[in-house]
Amino acid sequence: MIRKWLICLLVVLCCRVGFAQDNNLENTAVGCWRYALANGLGVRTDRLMLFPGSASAGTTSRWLWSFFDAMATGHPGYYFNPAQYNHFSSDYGLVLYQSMVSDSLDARCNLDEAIIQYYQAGGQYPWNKTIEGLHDELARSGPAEIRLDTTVVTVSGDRMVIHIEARFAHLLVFDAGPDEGARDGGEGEGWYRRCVVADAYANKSSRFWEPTFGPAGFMQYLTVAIVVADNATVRISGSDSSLSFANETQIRLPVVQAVVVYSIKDYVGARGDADAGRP
Amino acid sequence: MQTLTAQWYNAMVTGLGLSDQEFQIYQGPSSFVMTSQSLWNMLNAVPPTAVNNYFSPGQVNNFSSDYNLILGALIGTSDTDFQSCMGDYFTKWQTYFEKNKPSPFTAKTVSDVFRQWAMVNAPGKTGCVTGLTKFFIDPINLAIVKFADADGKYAWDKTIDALQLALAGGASKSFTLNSKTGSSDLKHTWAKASGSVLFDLFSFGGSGSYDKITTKAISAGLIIQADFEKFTTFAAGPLAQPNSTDPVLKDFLPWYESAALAKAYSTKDNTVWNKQSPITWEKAFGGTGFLQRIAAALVAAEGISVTITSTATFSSSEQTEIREAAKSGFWPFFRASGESGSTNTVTFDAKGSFTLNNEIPLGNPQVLGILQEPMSRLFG
Repeated sequence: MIRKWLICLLVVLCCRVGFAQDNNLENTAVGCWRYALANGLGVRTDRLMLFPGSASAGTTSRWLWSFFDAMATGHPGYYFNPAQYNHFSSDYGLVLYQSMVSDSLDARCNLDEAIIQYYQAGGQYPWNKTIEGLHDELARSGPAEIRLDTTVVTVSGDRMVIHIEARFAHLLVFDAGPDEGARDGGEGEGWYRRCVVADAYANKSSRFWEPTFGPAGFMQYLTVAIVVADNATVRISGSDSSLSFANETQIRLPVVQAVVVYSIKDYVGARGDADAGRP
Repeated sequence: MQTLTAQWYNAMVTGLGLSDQEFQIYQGPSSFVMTSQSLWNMLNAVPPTAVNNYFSPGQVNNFSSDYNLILGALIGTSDTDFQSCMGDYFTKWQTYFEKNKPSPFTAKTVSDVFRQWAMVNAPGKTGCVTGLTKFFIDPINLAIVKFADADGKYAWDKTIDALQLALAGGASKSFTLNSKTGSSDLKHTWAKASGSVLFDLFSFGGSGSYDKITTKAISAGLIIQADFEKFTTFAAGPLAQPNSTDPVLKDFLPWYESAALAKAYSTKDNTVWNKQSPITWEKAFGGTGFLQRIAAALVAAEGISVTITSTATFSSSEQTEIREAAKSGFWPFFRASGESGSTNTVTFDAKGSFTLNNEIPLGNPQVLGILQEPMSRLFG
């Protein structure tokens, strides 16, 4: 499906999402860019985090999966931190390990089978889509155009003028999930069962809940989709009474522009990965 | 001059689309990355709290050593869940299992033996099996075994080939810094204040007289035009999964288990930390702890052109000194002229004002900086 977006005159919307409160010109412009991109993609703004700089979407499936396996952080700001030191696959193993032992096994979510499945994966944790799948979906995705011209008045009364113009030959929200045994239509064993995480999250009386899912827990946000752009030009400029800046990005091969991040609460409550943060 | 360093930081952040909560400018003797090992050394170095850093390959504080220290201070979970679950049947099972241990000894075979026994001998206890099988996936035990097996060879999950591929597909970026209008405010950055400039880029390596020249140029105002033909943010993590298909990584064993570090960070008490160990949560992650942040990604570019123009006028002796600086690669030049294809040129107009140009061609990856991530956001 070919989609084309034209977004302009977002002054009122900018103020609504609050970045007029920021006196920093560059930060305000980045906030506007994130807002415009989220709206263009139909993704909730608070779930879209810009990828800092520009990252290759990868050349192998393993590379692609490393984006998804990295636990996201939900810190304030517009940028995603791409650190790949807190792995979802490893945390999932810890959740399994910490699960309550009881007399009977839940037929709906058999913990013993889940542990054996994870153990038998032998330390290899694929996702349910491959790099070939990404290339196919990207080739089928349509062009997009995003424009924003806005004047933002800050709390100190300064006027910021911001101009954003972005054209994409291809722009794609690519979602993927841990392999549950049906990767690319195959019938592999998989290593993951979503019900295990959902059950662990629901069990708030567990002594492990707070350090895992609580406000200072290590498993609070997940990357459920990456936003991939191909053949694109993005121009962002801004000025206020004393400062100005202008920059331009040219994209010729697929790069990760942003990621869609879910809180663990939203993740376990979501119908499936396919909605990828769309409102 | 620190003002210009701060302006350059802000210009890079904005122009390259980076976060001022993550970016740290990188300087060092080997900012030209040639091997996977040099790439991993940069990622292994624990960054200091500053918006710029001079990286030394011999840096003592590195992630893999810190991780090892922390692992040594953790205790395996003493889990009595299985025994509690089995109650009166525990001793009977133990007796049976001693004589009927499966081979191979895996989660599946242990589960099978238990289920068969429980069906006949303890039908109401079949669910207790998870108390047995989960020991096969104990993350702290896994972490300790993996680290020991790696035997001092600590790879990251991406290689120099991957960096070169990422750069080949990298975006092009360009931006302009006008020192008269560029922001020098660092209060909004992760390192918070201008005092967090670890060293002044614009006087780095230069003599006293060169500093005077730099001061003169900056006072009159500079315009810096930066163009990066290929630019990438290159994230990599410690090798956690075997990779038999990569020609370099196939020779390395995975050594990292993030859940062990997650467990260590999220639990401060002695259910996780061994009270006999000199390493405590506070010593590892506290205010003066040895592991407060990690290098999450490299910011790299090739095909670089940086042009700096000044309206200040320079005497002929000053012009000579500026030309010598260009040859040596003193900042604002990334490298000495001729090093790794780098070309530095200086031209003066009739009034004595200069235009400096530093070019690094494609095929010569230059590390511009890193993205750091504090442990408090990584695991908390």
